[in-house]
Amino acid sequence: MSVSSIWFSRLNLDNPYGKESYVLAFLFSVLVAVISYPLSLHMDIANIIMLFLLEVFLCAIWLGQGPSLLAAIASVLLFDFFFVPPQFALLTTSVEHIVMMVVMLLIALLTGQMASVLLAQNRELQASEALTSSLYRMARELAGASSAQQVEEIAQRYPASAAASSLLSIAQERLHYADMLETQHVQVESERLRNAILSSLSHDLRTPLTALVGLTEVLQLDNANLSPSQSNMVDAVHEQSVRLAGMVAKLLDLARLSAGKVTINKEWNSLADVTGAALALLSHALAKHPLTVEIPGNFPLVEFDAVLIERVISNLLDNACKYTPAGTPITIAAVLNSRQVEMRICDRGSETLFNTLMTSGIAANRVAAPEKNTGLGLAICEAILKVHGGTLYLQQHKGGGICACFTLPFSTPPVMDDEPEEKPT
Amino acid sequence: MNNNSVLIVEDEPRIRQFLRTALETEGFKVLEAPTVTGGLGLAGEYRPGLVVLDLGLPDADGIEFIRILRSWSDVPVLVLSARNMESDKVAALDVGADDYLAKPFGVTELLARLRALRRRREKRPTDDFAVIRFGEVVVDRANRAITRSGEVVHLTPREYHLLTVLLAQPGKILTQRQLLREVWGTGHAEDGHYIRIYIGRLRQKLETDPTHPRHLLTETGVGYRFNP
Repeated sequence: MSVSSIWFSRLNLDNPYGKESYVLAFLFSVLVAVISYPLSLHMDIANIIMLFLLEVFLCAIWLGQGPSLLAAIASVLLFDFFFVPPQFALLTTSVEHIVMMVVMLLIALLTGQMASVLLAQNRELQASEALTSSLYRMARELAGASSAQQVEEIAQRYPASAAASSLLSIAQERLHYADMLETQHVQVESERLRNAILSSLSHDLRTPLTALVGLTEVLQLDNANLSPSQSNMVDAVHEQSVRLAGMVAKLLDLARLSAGKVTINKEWNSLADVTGAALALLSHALAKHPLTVEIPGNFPLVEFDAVLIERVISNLLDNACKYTPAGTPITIAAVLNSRQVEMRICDRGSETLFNTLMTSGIAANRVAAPEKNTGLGLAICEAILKVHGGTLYLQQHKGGGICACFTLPFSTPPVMDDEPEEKPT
Repeated sequence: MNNNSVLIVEDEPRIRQFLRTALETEGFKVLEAPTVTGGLGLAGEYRPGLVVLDLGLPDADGIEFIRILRSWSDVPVLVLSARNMESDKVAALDVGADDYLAKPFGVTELLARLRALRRRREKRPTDDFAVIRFGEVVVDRANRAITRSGEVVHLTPREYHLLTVLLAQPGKILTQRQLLREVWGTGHAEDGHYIRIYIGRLRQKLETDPTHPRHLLTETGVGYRFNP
């Protein structure tokens, strides 16, 4: 606080000891008057003024500005009454003494004011230091807090202020991000663990199945020493092993796809390409059906996981082959709408399957398991499309049979520089 | 070099058992090792003509086996992968495996693949004719001329380059990364869609039924293969 504010600062009548301090200030003035009365017989009254000034100064420090004002007035009156000649009267004719009393009053007021300003400044400093150190302690505790509940508790222990609430919001933000990081970390870890378990499970299940399939196939190849019925049995064991291997593969796929968050390898892929690969995989089963593929040569690339969508197409094609009589046609078509791509795999004769599926609830997007494991295949297809943001549904074909349709979201594929065709040389 | 021998690196004895029987019936001489270390030892000592390798071995990863083997030998390696992860197959092919089969596999299929690998290896030095025929297509690499059913087919330089890279290694799976590096150069490792577009165009121009290709085949999630 500057010197000028000592003069102009507002009179602060608050004081730490209440109304009693005015009484105290008055009594203090009286006490000084009583003590200095015998002294006045031996010394000049100018020295007595010093005692009164000291008293006003002490009042200002101990009792505050209001009481020091009272003490100053009381002191001047007492001094006038008891010490200034004529004694025991308030009137005086000596100009010297009047000046002396006015100066005394001014000095008393001024020292009182100064003392109380210093006091107020000191208190303010102490308060701000207390606030700073409380904020510091609060910040330190908040830095160590590891849960929202702890932050709450700390907030309750400290007085509310703008700085405190900003500290709190920083702490809450920090906790929020720490939480997010933790969740993400747990997700990644659990996915990694799940994949590791599935991978080792896959290895453990496939190894004996591989041996079983391989051993029976070797027996089939070299069956000269087997009786016809033994040979039939070997065929049966081989067939069942292959089927079991297929089911295990499907179950593992389903386990991977339906547990929590799945990471897929989305790239810009060609539906024609993937369909071709699926047709090659199923060439044996498809040989019995006339096949039409209606995917235009200029069909744009679509973003999907090629391995998974190939699985969807081959599962749907496999169903179409399994549930229709040999010789009935199968059509595969891709249609581009503005927002999505639709693939339709239609057959002409799996009415029974359609009815089974309809009653089992695939229409309501819930796949139950009808006979012959169709449900498992469809459940995998559905899980795959779900992670792609697509849908799977069945429709009854106008001319009989069913269409298994699925959609994939479509967005504009990346552009690629074209180059001119080479002229033959 | 012992052309008629096959090294089987596989930790499961039952699988080794039927592989040995099937391969011996086929006339191969069979070497067996249950570990990467053992397999590398045998490969160095006997120099087999073919290697059948399981990826999940107890002492080290099968990928490591191929990497070490490739430092001194270019013997064809067929990988058996029990894991259903395409990334494993791609990793194996990228470090130099020649083909893969997913477990469980058919013995007939395995034998066919091994025969093809052996044939390719035996023929390679003398098979560098400029003209290659597949289906109705004739590719004359000396004159950069291509015909399909006698009619001239026009290809862009990139399409031609991609085609010749595939034709150079008939039957072998080339991964997306290998094709991109060969045709587009380094720095395009992430541009897999280039290949898909160009393969699509090549099929339109060369395959009888582009939606049901017979010669330019897709190994989904892994790469492409030229089937003569």
